[in-house]
Amino acid sequence: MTGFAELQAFTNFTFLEGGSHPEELVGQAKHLGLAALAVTDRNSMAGLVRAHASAKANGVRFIPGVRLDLMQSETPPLIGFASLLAWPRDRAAYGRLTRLVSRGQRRAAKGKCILTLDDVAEFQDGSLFAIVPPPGMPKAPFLAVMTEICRRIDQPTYLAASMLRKAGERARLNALAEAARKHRTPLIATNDVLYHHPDRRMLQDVLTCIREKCTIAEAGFRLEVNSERHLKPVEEMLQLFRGQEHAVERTVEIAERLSFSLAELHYEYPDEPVPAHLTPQQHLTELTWAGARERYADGIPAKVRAMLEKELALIEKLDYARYFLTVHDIVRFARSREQPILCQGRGSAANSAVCYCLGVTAVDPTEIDLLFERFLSEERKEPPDIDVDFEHERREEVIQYLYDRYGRERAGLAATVITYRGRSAVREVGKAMGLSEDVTAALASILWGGPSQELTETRLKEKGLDPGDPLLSQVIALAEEIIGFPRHLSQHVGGFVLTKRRLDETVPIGNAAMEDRTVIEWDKDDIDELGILKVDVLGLGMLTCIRKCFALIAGWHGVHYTLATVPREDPEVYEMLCRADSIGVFQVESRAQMNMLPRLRPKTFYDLVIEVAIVRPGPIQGDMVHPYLRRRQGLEPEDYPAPDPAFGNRDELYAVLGKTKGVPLFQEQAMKLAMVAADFTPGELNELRKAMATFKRRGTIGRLEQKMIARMVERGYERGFAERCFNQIKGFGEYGFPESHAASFAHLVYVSAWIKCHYPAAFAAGLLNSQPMGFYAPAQIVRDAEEHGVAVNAPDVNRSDFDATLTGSGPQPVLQLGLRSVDGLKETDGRLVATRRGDRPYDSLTALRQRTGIAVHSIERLAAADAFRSLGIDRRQALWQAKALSRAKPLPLFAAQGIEGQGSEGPVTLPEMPLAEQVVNDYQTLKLSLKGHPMRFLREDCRAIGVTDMAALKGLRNNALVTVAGVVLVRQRPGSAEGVVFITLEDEFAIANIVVWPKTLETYRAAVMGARLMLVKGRVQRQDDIIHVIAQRIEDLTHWLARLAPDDLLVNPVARADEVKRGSPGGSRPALNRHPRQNRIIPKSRDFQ
Amino acid sequence: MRRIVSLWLPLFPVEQLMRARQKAGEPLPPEAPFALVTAGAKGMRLAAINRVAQRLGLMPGDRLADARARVPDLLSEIHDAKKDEAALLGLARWAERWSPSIMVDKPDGITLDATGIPHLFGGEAPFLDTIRGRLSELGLTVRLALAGNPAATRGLSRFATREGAPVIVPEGGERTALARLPVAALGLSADTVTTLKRLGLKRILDLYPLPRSALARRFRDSTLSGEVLQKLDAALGLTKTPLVPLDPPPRFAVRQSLDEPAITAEVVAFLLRRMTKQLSGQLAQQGCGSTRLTLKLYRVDGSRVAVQAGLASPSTDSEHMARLLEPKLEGTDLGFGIEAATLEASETAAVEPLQTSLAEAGGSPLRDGTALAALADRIANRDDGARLSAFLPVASHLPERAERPVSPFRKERSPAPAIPPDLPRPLLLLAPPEPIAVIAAVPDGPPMHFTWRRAPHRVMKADGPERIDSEWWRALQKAGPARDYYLVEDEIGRRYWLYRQGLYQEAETPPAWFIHGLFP
Repeated sequence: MTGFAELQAFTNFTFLEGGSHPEELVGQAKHLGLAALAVTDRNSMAGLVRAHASAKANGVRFIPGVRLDLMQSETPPLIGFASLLAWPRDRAAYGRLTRLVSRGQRRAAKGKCILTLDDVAEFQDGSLFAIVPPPGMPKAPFLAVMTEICRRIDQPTYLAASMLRKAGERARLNALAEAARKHRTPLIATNDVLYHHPDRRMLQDVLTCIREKCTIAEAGFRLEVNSERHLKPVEEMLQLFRGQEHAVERTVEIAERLSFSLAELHYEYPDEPVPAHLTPQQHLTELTWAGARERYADGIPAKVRAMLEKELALIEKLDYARYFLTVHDIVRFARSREQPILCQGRGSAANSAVCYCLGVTAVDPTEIDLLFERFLSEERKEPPDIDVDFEHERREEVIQYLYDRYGRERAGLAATVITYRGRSAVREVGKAMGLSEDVTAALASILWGGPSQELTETRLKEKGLDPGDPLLSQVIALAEEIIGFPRHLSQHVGGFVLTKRRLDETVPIGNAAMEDRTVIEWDKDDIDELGILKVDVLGLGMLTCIRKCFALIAGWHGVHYTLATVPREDPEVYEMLCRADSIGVFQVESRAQMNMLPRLRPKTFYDLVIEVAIVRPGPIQGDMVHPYLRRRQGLEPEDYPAPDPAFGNRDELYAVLGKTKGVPLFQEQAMKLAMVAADFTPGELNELRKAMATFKRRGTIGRLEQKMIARMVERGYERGFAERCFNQIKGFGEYGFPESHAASFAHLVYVSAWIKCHYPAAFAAGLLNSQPMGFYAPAQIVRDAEEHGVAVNAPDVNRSDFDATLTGSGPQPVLQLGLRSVDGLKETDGRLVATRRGDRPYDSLTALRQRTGIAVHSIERLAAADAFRSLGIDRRQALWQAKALSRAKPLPLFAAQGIEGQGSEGPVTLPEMPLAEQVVNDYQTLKLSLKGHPMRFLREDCRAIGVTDMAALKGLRNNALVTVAGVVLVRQRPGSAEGVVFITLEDEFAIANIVVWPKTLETYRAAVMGARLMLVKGRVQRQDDIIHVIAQRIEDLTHWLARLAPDDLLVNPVARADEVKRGSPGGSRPALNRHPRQNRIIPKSRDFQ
Repeated sequence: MRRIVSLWLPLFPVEQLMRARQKAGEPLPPEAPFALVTAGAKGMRLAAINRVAQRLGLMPGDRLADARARVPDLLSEIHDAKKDEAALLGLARWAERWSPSIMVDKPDGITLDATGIPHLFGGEAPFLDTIRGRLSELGLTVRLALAGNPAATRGLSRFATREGAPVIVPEGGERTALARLPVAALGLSADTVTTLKRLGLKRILDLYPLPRSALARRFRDSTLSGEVLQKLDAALGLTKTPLVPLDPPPRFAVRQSLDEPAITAEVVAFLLRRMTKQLSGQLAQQGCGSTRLTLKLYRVDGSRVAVQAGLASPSTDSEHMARLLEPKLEGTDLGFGIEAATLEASETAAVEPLQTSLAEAGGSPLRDGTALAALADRIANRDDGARLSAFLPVASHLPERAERPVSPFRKERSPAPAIPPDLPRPLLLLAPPEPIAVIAAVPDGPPMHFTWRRAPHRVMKADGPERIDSEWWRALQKAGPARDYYLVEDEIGRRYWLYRQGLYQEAETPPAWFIHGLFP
């Protein structure tokens, strides 16, 4: 019995063309009993690793390959020349093919590839090729191309023929056989596979429509005529190739000659950082002990010594020294800059004693009790994982250093596969199926979060859609099928792959959308699968902020700090955090964290580690938060469920969960739980880890869920407990937070809280100078600083630098806001104003214009922002003068004489600007005001309708009825809170936290989602000093803002209520189409999903 | 004294769409919030909204996603600004009934010169009421103002009116009427308005006392002329702004008068030939061809008769035009004689100039591809196209859907979709395909013998199968199995196109065979 090997198949990594996942093709190949399966994506090798991994697991013979679509020349106009299939015979040939593809991709824009026959000829050695003929009868031009290919390629070359049940195919096959005979390119049978099973035809048609940007009704001949391009068994192939059976048989012979497997891609660490005379291990040992002596100036504690010895031994055993050295090298580079770049490592191996001594992290390993073995397991042959965070403004320097040091051929960013998710899937499928924008949008909003079938039906009905409509159900079914399909490759946030030999001989490297970036075709799972080193070079805004804070403290106070030298375990810092006084503090400034702080009451560093990890979807969905808090407050005993004694040690869970009072909070604990309590083997654990990471992509999680729960129950655990544990694992799948990451973050929490506690002015300045970052707008940062006793000065051309600075001669610094606060001012102009000023203040607008040469437009911005107060003029006068400046470049002759080009004019009296209007203008031009809070000017009006100010909230008893009104700062609708909306309101005294339950939301939806100034009637709810107002009625008071800057411009006197309803004019558009919201009085709130 | 009327249609895009939907028989639910949306840099934004949406607090310029968060049942449609522009132009032409001098004030206004007109309607107030009444009948909300210059009326219609109350400014009263309006009523750029407000110059009257030089120096537009001053002067009527009236629609018509009435068709035909020549010259000059001709004959008794002809493709060929109309003259009652005639190209379309052959001067209609169209015109004009169809190719793999009949006078000139090459297709397609009895090899072999209309045929040669799958998106639930087509030849050399629907082994019932076409 002969066999058949399918040598030509697209996966869905030939984007919007291939209709099946690599894993599906492999599965089907196994099912059909194919002798082998090759994957040949178009000019790409992005799907190979997935197919390889799946083939390994399923015992299928897998052949990596590529389809090369060649152009006539490498420069436009690009004219298609021919298509070739190429399969490497050995490692070297594989490397040539990846280089070939890299060249084509580097030459073209992102996602494109330009290759010519010359390129193929150059890299042909060691590969087998097949020519793919165009559709239709082979004609003279094609035969000429064949001749040309045969002349240039001296490797064995074949001619690929397909029988797809199209018209006139038999004659075509005969003609191809004749051409094959003439050119000595034996005929091979392939099915030119687009999908694994004929059922995928519909999805493939939809993909075609998405690609061609048309609807299915318009697609016409762009669609395949039938569903024949699937994997077929040998019997069917033989029947189709009747008379040319040898073409089928030949595929097996070829498959046998193609013995190369991706498993041969042994990864080798780069050895750049290792000096010639040392082994990597020796070098690492030396560096580590030298670092240890530096860290522990008073002598290395015995505990640390023991840890270091143990860790170094394990590193040597697993041969990971070069990995640690590579990370050290990157960190060393960042530190050695003239202006050092602040950085900190995190990740599984980062919180080791070795990394602490190498300076990769500043978390003292003695402070937390992390077991190194937990992260570097011997069973798992996976490389350790260290992410390094750098200041976000300067990360690019580190990236370019890596490119310089290792070269573009040896360093590349990992890819991220962007896949279709719920909404994008529905949108694109709906569009392709010809649904209107309305219906697609409605569908997309329903399918968000993937509810159950019934729920979908009720929600469809709510939206006025008919669940029985076959078109709709078709769209939903197709959208569900397309979820998880790769859409394009993007660059990973910062995962760098570094190799000893040329990286482009392992994986194709292409251009990223960003200039100066190159990206490999594989993502982090692919890299893990092959055991390739990756270092995550990430950007973190808080590091920028902390560095700026340190610099400001050094400049004003003369004290120098680093991440590692900030005094540890300062009780004042913890007291501050327990009060939820955490605006601006890293990670714990969100409202949810602020609610948690007074309940958790952190006292030690490890409490912060827990604080960081606990307010996450994982623990929340797993319902772990409240048990932990109760146990911590001593309201509930620490309890460790135990297995039946027949199955194991009664204390087995204590070892896993002891640190967190019996409640799993960290990702590792969830994993360990599966291992210990459900007896998962390392293989199953690995599967679980992958399923978690790709929770949405593949449906394996359900099987694992049953397995884990069943095993735990079998071993004597309660079903409820087992289910909770698994829910948490699922939660982690989306936003996993391991202990080691939490520890590194907790360190930044501590450091930023410490700065806020002791240097509030510097802290606020650092935050302002690192914007945009964090949770709060400049207005809240400045207000918070003022509440902490910091004096703040408004931006002024004679006092401000571009950045916020610390000034003043008193015991405490004054926060001088910078010109960067001025909306729309160009950075270069702002900096010029500061540098050209020197010690000589500007005495007029004309002088400023002449000395800086900045555009009049910029001066107008400064004037509008009231930055000329030091000249004794307010914004109105300043703007009047600025508008009069000549727009032409200042003439040097006149400049020398200090004369403006035009004559002077008589004085004009402008009406004085009332304070409320000044505040409005401040908000418009600076996004904050030091002159007052908008609510102050509405206080009378508020009192008249019974609004309580927020300072009084503290004095109210639980359940009291209250009415508050304020500016909306933040609106949040967290996915884990089942439709509850959290709103933060601010008035001139304090802030109030509003909770809106879904029912209330439905009644007042427009006001909840749209108001900028909001009135809330509700009940006070107090718990552990945290006050919420549970909303019962909500009103949109946004139109009140118009009262702050009354224009009162309606010609015909109208009833007051009418005026309010229609909004008062003043913009550039007439009344009917305007609403007060368009008068941008206060900045838009920050809304989060 | 000049009198100018400004119409502002504040809800024009939405009301326009509502009218169109009403006409199409798919009216918008009147109580539903509705928005027209456009694609912006950061997603879709509302371009225009109806009153219900306004009442719910939505605003043009809002992001669609935000709007939906607030008003989940918001209906939306993509805004077609081009269509609106065309509709506004149409409305302006329609308004020519009130004034010969009309200007479109994009995107939602019309200005008309009413000097000397209102008295025809009984005065200025009744005149504006008439306009408002007619527009309301069309379902359009309108704000109206009447003053001495376009700039002032424009500002007044937008900022001084309230629903139902047109503003009429007596002669010379602009300065007072504008005084309390916001500066935006001058039609300034948004930036300038903001700056003026910041300076405390919020109303137009705030500008009156300022020195002209101070204003001129500070507020310049992109052409560096004094923006505020210019607009202010225009609104106060200190400078004269001309109204630029609409271009007249292109018209192709020729007229012939006779000294002596023509009483025979021959004379009229002679006349016709003269007129088609002139018309063809006019058309060719503008690069247009006629797709519909109207010949109007004016009888001596003052009555009029008209004959029309449609053309399948735009033509400038005078001979062809004459030949189409001539046969229709025969049955036309000329009464006591014809004293004048007009020939009008009542519908036109652009024509691509065709390269005529060098060898045959003037070009051969057979060669340049217009011959077929000319023939079609002649046949079709006998009975107004009722019996003649043209077939347009349709991009579909299904043979019966691969073409569709259209009127030979079809308006659409869309390029034919590409036809997949090398497909054997029969000359005659049977509609619907007819069932046949077949003997064939199981499961999917070619037919060996078939019986069609009781006549047995032995298959000598067969090619295939060509498998054509159903268009699954068309019949979502009953998408049948694929068809396998065979081209077969019987013992006397006749060729047929047969197909089998389904496979023998797959379905419980054996697959059915059909004949779908005949080859020549």
